[in-house]
Amino acid sequence: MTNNNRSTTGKNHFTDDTNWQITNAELMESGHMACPGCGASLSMRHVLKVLGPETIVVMPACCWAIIAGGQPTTALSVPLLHTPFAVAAAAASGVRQALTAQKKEHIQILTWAGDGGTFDIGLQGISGAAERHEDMIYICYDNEAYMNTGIQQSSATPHGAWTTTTPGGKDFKYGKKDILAIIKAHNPGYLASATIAYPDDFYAKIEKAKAARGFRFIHLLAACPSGWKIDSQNALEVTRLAVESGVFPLLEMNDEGAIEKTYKPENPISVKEYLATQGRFKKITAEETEIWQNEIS
Amino acid sequence: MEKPAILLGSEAVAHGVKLCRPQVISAYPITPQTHIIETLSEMVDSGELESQYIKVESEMSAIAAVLGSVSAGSRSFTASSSQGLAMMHEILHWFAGARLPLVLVNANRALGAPWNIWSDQSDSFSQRDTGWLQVYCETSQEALDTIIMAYKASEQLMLPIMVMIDGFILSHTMERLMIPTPKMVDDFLPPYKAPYQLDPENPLTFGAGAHPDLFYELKKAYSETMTEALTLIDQCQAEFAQKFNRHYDLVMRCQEGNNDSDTAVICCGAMTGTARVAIERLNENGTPVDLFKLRLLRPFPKNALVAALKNKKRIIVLNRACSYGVGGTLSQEIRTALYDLPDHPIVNDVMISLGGKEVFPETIIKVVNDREQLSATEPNWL
Amino acid sequence: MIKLKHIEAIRNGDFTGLPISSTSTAVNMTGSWKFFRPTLKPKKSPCFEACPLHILIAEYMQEFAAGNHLAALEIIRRNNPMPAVTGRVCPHFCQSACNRTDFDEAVLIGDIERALGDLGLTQPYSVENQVCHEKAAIIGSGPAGLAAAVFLARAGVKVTIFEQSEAPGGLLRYGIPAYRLPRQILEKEIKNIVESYSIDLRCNHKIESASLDNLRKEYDAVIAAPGLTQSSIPETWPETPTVKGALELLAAISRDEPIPGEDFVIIGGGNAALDTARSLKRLGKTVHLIYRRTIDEMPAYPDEIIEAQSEGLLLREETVIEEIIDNGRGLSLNLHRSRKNGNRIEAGDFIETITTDFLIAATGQESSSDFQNCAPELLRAGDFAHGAASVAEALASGRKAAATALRKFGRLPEDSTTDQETQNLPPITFAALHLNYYSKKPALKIPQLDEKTRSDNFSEIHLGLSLEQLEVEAERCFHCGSCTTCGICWFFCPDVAIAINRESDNAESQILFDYDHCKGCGQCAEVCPRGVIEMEEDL
Repeated sequence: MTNNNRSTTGKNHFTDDTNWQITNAELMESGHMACPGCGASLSMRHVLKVLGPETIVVMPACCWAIIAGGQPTTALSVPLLHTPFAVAAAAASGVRQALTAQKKEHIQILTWAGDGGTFDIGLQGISGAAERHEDMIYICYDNEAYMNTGIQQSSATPHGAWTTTTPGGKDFKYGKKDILAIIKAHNPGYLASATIAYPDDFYAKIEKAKAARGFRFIHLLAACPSGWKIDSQNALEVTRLAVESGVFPLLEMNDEGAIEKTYKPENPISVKEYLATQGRFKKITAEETEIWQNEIS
Repeated sequence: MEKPAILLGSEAVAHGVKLCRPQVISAYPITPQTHIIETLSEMVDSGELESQYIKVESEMSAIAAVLGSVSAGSRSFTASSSQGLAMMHEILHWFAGARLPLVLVNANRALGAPWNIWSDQSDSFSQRDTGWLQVYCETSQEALDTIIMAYKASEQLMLPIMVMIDGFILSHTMERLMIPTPKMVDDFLPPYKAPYQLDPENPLTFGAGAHPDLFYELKKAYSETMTEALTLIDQCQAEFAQKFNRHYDLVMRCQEGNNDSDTAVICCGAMTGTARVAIERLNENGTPVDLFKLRLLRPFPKNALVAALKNKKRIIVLNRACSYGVGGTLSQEIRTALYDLPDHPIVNDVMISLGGKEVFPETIIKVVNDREQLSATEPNWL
Repeated sequence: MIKLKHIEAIRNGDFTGLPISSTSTAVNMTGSWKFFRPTLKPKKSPCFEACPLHILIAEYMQEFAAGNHLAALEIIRRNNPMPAVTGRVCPHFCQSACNRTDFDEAVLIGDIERALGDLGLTQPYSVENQVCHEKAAIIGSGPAGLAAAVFLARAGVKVTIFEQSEAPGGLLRYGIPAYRLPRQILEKEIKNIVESYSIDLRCNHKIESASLDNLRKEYDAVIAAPGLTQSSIPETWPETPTVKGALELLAAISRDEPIPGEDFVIIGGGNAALDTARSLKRLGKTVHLIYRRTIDEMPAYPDEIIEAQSEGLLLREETVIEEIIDNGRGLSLNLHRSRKNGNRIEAGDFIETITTDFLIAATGQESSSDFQNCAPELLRAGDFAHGAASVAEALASGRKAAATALRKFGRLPEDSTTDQETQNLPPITFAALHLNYYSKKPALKIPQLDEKTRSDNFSEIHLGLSLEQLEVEAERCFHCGSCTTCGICWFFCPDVAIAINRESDNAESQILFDYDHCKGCGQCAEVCPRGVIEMEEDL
């Protein structure tokens, strides 16, 4: 997929309509511990392709704490600091400040956390780092539950979804926390939601985040086949349908500070169709589905 | 030439820190530690200290921020107290396990409930098992000096060190002390050169999961380094004495003259100052009593303690932290250390103060005078 | 001084008690987790399947889009020796089958073939130096005869073509008007073939059935491809000079002979009918085309019908001629409304009587040769063998006859189609493609002469586009069923277990699955736009 690709034919639109390149260099190694079809590992692979080797990753407890491999192995060819659950943003702040003291401002800090470490236990530290405009890219890969501990509900779990702590489906009164609104209130340097199912949008946003300064936040939807009760080969497609149905809009904060859509489905599908792709929404009722549809429209 | 100054304990700590040139400081306010970070903030603001000063939103983030900065290879500093130190607990474990060097100053204060801002040692004694080295200081001068030595030891051991001052008793009290010159400290403490750090040129992963056998081996190595730390700190203190002409030991006898008493009082921290007065009066009044202060709680200087106390018949331990249901925490430590002696001395476990309850020389004199009435097995509350 | 082992090791940088990692996880054979493994399973594309010549269209589209025009031309020439001709006059079964039709519009395969064919007019055919063992004679230099000649010559056979007309090409020259197939294009393409392959082309050399035996003695093989060169005139029609066959008229026009008469009625609905009608109109004649069924049922190529209508051709559908009266100066024709009687068409209600100078039959073709009853072992090709069909089918027939001849010689003809395994499977359907990462993009518009400009001359209607312009069109090709190393599988592999080696000459080894680390998630198979990757049980 580099430009010297002789088969530029059948260019998919993410190599056709955009002028960026995808490097062949891999900063994420094979043999990592992710489940088959893991959206979080695929997302990491491409985020690192954009950010490049001059990056330091800081990571709290999350699926990736396992995916990255146990000693003496590591799945990343960039430095990686594992931290306890709540403190990734704070630890990353420290790394940033140390690099500033050492006059190594050019190195990117990537704080990489799951939805539990972002929406729930890590939120205070994120708020602190965002308020200080710490120069880092914070990426939340959101698989919509505590997947690493075995699929428990988080505040990123959508209403109606089955988890092991919401066996009857998450109470419909409690929707998914609006994390972008929370971060937006901190006046971040960059703010967006994305998913690797839309590679051009994804790459454009990571590039923009890389070029920006200050506290930059990207909310990635990342499919979890076992947690969502889907077959691994459908992980990408289900993620795509989350966007096509409007359940997970692709958003970005514009220069005026307003959040706007970066992609509008040409032929949107219904929420019902999206939910039907996943076992975790089996118990959702028709009324609830309608409420959800109305929330989107 | 060192310069004399009259400073609050907190300010003395800040001056000690400044002389060590930390590149990153993380700070979150808590009484009675706050003056330390305030003073450092002023130093950074005025330019006399070149350091990145991170005003975090909690103690958990304060310790996490320096976890990050030290991982990235920068000498760092943070301070806390009481509830704040308790909030750091998870990261204290992590920090030690990560084998990273740091000096953290803790202004000892009680833990609630009920609310209490006054001094005792419950906060740091609760962190005994986190793997940190712990040093307790009697004076502000000792605190200042200890910080300089602690950085040196910490960076050679790749282990974090907690330096204790008593809240209010030291932190908020003026003391005349000597401030070393920057050159003296620079000669003693070279800049931190991390043996491993977060560096894209040499990408390493820190803290990845370890399987049981490897985990065990790492912890065994940790324990062995802790043992070596006793020797290293000895060496460090000796070198410091040579260069700064102030002498510190792991366990320090606080009495002049021959040791012909069979009773010893032992305590740690600023209360040693009060105890000195009490013991002096007791000795003047014909009650020979020896006084020791324990500077190092972790690693525990067992051999030094045994050497100091081996001929005593009675050890009175003045506790300012309690492991409820057992007794004074320091007493347990002392008892354990003396267990191997063929003739065990009596260990009187005295709960002398908690939550800032005032200890006067008379309080200690009374305890010593009434020593025959003290229980040798149960904790003695006043 | 007590030796402090750990502290010394830390100082020396060889302390082992640190929780740090630097070994790649690639040491973990996570491929052992999988139950299914991805494999490359190339499939036939519908265009390949539909093409009588089985040209590897998906393959040459890839080369073409990448700017490798000559490589693309070579792929076409492997199966089709006359792309400049077929690019113009083939109905492009491939385009009708194109999966892109279900997405937006078919890829303009024909226009790309035409442009490549034109490029080939100045590119000699590559000829391997082969020892000539055998000699073959081919009767007829139409598409079937020329194709047979090419495929025999490629196998080292010395070929002689006997052409009864004064110039080669058969129906291509004498049947297809120049506005569809310019003469100089045809001539250049034939000349290129004849010269490249050193074919002994003998024009004005008619072979009668009587001389066949001699020919068969002289040559190791004889292939008869004389074509169907004359129109069949219905028996009920009067034998008069004002009744003519369409093919004869087209041949006369192509020879620039003067065409007497002003008013023509043409009966028929095939390409010959339309070609004749449009040619006559260009000569300033008044033309009525009469067809007994509806326009939609006309067997002529749809594009030809549309073009003819736009040129103002007078076309009467569902009309039959019930009576033809020769009035000396011309003909009177009684026209009736068609009436269906089962599959048959009968004359219904009388409409009117019209008069005309000439009545032209374009209702069928027949052979002018007398080989029909010759020895059954005579190799036959083209329309003569199979009845009137498209140029592509004639070329395919010639190639097949050449292959039969080669087998007779005890040689294996080269088979340039895909491997046997895929031959038996149906071509890949639209539903089997994964096109989420494609955006809709309409086909290019091919410029053509407007009706006014082309009304009185034989200039080629379709103007074509440059090779560079057409590369964009080729990029629209989905390459159904064949891997282009586009890299989508590589992009979406969460396990970094797919490598692409575009330098490899072997298509099979361009996509490398790292089975040591592939966990068998199957996403590569789900994203492959061309449906090439399949998951199979990992045993």
